[in-house]
Amino acid sequence: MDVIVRLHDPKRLAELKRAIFSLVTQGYRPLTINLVTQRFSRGETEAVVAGLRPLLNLDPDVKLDVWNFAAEEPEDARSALLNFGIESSKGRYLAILDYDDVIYHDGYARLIRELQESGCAIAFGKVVMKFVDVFQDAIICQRQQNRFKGDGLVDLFIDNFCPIHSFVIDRERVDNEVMSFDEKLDKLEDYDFLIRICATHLSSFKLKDTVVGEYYAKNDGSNTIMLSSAARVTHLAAWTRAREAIERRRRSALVSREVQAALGLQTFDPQMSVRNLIDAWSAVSNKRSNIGAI
Amino acid sequence: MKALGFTGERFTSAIEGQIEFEHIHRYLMARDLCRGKDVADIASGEGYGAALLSQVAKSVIGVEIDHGSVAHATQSYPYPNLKFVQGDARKLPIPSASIDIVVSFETLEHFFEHDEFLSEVVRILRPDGSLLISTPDRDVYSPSGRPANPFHVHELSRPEFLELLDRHFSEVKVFRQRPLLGSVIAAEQSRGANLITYEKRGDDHLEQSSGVPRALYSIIYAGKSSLLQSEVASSIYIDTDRVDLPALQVAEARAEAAAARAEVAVARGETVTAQLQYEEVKRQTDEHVRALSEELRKRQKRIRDLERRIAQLSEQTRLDRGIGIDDLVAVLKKHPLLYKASRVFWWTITLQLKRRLVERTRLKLEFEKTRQQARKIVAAKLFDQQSYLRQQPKLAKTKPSELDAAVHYLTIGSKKGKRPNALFDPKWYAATYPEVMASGMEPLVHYLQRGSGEGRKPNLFFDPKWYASEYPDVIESGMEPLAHYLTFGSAERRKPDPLFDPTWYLAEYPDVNKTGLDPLAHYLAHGFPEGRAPSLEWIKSNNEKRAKALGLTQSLRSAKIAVGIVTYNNPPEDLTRCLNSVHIALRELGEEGESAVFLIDNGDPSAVDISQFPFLTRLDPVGNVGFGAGHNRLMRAAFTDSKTNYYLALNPDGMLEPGAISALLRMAQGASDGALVEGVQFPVEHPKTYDPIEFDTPWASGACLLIPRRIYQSIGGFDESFFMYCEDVDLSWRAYAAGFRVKICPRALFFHPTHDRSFDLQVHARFLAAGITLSRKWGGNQFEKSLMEQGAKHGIDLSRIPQVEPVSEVPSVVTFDHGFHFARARW
Repeated sequence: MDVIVRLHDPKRLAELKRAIFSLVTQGYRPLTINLVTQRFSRGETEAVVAGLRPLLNLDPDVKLDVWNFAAEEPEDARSALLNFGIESSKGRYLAILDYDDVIYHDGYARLIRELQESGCAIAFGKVVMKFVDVFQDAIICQRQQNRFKGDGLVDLFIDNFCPIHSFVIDRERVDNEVMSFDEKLDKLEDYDFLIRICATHLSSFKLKDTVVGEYYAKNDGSNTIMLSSAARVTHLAAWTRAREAIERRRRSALVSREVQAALGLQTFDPQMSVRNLIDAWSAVSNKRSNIGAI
Repeated sequence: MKALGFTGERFTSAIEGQIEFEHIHRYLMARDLCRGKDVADIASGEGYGAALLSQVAKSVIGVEIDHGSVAHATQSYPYPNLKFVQGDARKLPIPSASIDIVVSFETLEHFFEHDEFLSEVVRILRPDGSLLISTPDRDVYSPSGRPANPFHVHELSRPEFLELLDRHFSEVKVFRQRPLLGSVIAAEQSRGANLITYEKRGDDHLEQSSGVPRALYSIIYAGKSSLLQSEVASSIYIDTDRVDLPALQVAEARAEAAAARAEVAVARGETVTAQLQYEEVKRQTDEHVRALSEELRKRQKRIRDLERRIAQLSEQTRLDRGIGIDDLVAVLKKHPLLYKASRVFWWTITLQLKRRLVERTRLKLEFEKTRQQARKIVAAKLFDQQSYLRQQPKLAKTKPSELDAAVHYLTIGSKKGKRPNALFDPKWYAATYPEVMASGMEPLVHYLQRGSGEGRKPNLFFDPKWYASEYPDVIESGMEPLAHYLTFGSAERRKPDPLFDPTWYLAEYPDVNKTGLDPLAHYLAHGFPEGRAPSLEWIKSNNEKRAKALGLTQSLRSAKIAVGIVTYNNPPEDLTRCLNSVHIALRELGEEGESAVFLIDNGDPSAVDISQFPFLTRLDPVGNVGFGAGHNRLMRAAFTDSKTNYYLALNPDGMLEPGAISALLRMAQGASDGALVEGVQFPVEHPKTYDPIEFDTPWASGACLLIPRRIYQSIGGFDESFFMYCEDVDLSWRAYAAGFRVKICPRALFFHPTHDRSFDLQVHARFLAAGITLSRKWGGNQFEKSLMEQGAKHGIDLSRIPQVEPVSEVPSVVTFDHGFHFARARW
């Protein structure tokens, strides 16, 4: 199994250590951490590796590879970092974890077991949101909310309720052409990725109520999702553009035959886009049991 | 004379069957002892027993606490040598040394002061007097699973009963009584007297005989040896099933009767209330009917007058006369259903009108009072109409006056938590000052009339006293400080509180300017929930406090640490992982060579490769002595070395983050070794609350807990009354009680796996037992009760949990209001 961890700021070592500690505690082996950094100097990379070394000593079977994205463009290389990580990952199973989130110790083992039992290409678990205060010397969890709510695939197409660390992909069951993030996007890139992969491949939401990890909503404005009023003012236009791009994706991504069949559609419609599917679902929303969660 | 009614407990002559057998038999036994003597029957009840004794005694005095029973007995049994008096068994209304024999059956179990009662008995007895007393044997009468007798407050076991009597009397002879259904075989006694039979042979016929009278059968045991007869004992054959079943039914009947009595009491109360309500309604209705009748009479007269006038006019104009009310009634009476419907309609209308008039008057008075209050808050400039209407768009559409909007706030908005101005938060105010709710006053009215003058804050960051002293012109203006800030201070960028800096806030968060809100209003509505800071002073102040609490403001002193692990059949790979993490954490600390790890197996010997961990010391196992007892053994061994400064209790299935021990040590040393310090469980934190600046927490988990030697020497280790669970809560509360603190270290991560476990009865029973012990020790009576109920629900026997000595001084952190969290939960 490979886990891609992206890191943009070498000062965020304390949060990264929590994420890596959660990976070291995973029950699934073998496990390789592909840490992808964004334009780090050699000294910064060495400092990060030195900081993580004691953690890795806890289990020699957990391997750490550090990959530094050195290109000047794009400025925010979040999608490029993920693609860089995917290219560097060789294992069958793939997961992604941001430097400031954590995964529960049996999260990956459960999701992989579900992939093996269901034959799906991607399996989702539940992630809870923790509101944390980040200080230089401590991270304090203040409260917890169940913000990511959804029942299954159609809900995912309507709005993203699956954070980037809520799923594991079986690469043997996924076509290579969809295994990349759109580098033109610096927001909602993970949602765009999920729409493409889930429109064409079978997905499992059987573990949608099983908590596999935590998403840290931080008080210092370093989250990429819209949390603060400051973020709202500054990034409103960028968010609007990202949402428009997602809607274009919904209209262009076609739902495959096997996904339509899994959703219970009797007749295959080769022209059915994700948007068409959502509209059809809305029209029969009172008959949700016929179409929706897999 | 009618017998006294059965209450479910006391035996009266109205009761037959099992209870009758038990009580009559005891009184017949007593009767033989009372011949020619002065007798006192304590708790004489309905009086039948004392009456029985009076047939042979010189005198009998029955003492009974219930006035009704005394009156009944006096009237029912008017014998010259018998009298009944009202009195308490614990303070008998009988002169000292005046009684030969005291009889008291089934009395003790109804109160707690047993020694007090027996002292009173001794006082009234003559020197050679005696006592015949009975009480149910708790071990037999109230075994686990049988419904408790709701009238009994303190039942005694046989040993306890005997011990009690031994304290007051030098000679004690014990008899045992039980009901039976069966057969008796008794040897014929030539000298008689060893077996007496009391036989009820009719309603008014009791017969006493020696041996077994009217035996249906004779049994002879014959032989040639003279010793033969002594080998045969008299015997009783009992059919238990056919006796205990009725006994159980009696117990259940008692419980049902108690419940029924409670229902009757409630029903009686309801009946009285209903009667009063009925009378009030009837009075109002009669009054209204009188008024309506008068009105009707006037109108009928008016109709008659009009009819006459119409008739006159008709006569004059040769038109037909119109139909009158009497004609209408006459017509309706020809159609009974229509007539009935008309009457119902008429009465419904008139009654509703009456009710509505009364309600309207009440509302009018309340409304006038509210308007007066609204005028005051408007005059004090504490009501901002625009701000309020922004929160109430529907109301805004009606374009109310300022006074009407203020009235709306007082009557509706306040209850919904709407703010009367940008800075007064009625919800926060009521929650912060609970006495406001108790006063029944609306929060803003309370603030204006009392709170402001008393220095109470209207929100988290407005200090009216500080504001008034910081800006002397506020007092000169005669305005209430918050009103002054809203009117002038905000625009002048004055500070509302020493820790809120509007100028800094606007500079730090430029987006606030675009909102047009007052900086403090923005902070309260948006900044605080988003985790923004109110001022640089606040950040600095909190950072300094936090760093100090974490022990980061001082250098780490060298220390010898002993890590203690208690295992119970843990998988070897888990234990190896845990030990490896300890090894790495000690190495990171730089104290690897100095420190030690102690391990004890409460279960099977752990299969770990010791050669990997040369620092490991294994104590000889002593069986499964429990979690706390295991750690106590390790702690004793660890602190035997005088150089050991700290003991770190660690669960074997977890794993330390490499910097965890260092972080724990820093925090302990930051608190001068006066705090228990817990590592944060990762990644699933325990939800119990803690202070985000000082990191004090109501209790610390024993999964990863640093115990400084200083605290161990003061309060010792875990209380071994707890086998498993809650011992850490107890240790924490003992630490608080001894003046120490308990902290959680957010920098010390301890991986603690959580598993989805199905319900395990044994684990649940241990949880309940631990919770009950904790409750008994720290005064959680209600919690104990709820746990006992849980146990009963699952069929868990919790009757054998040993009693523990209650703690006399309970620290304020102790709470049983949050279930097994024992603290307010963050989520």
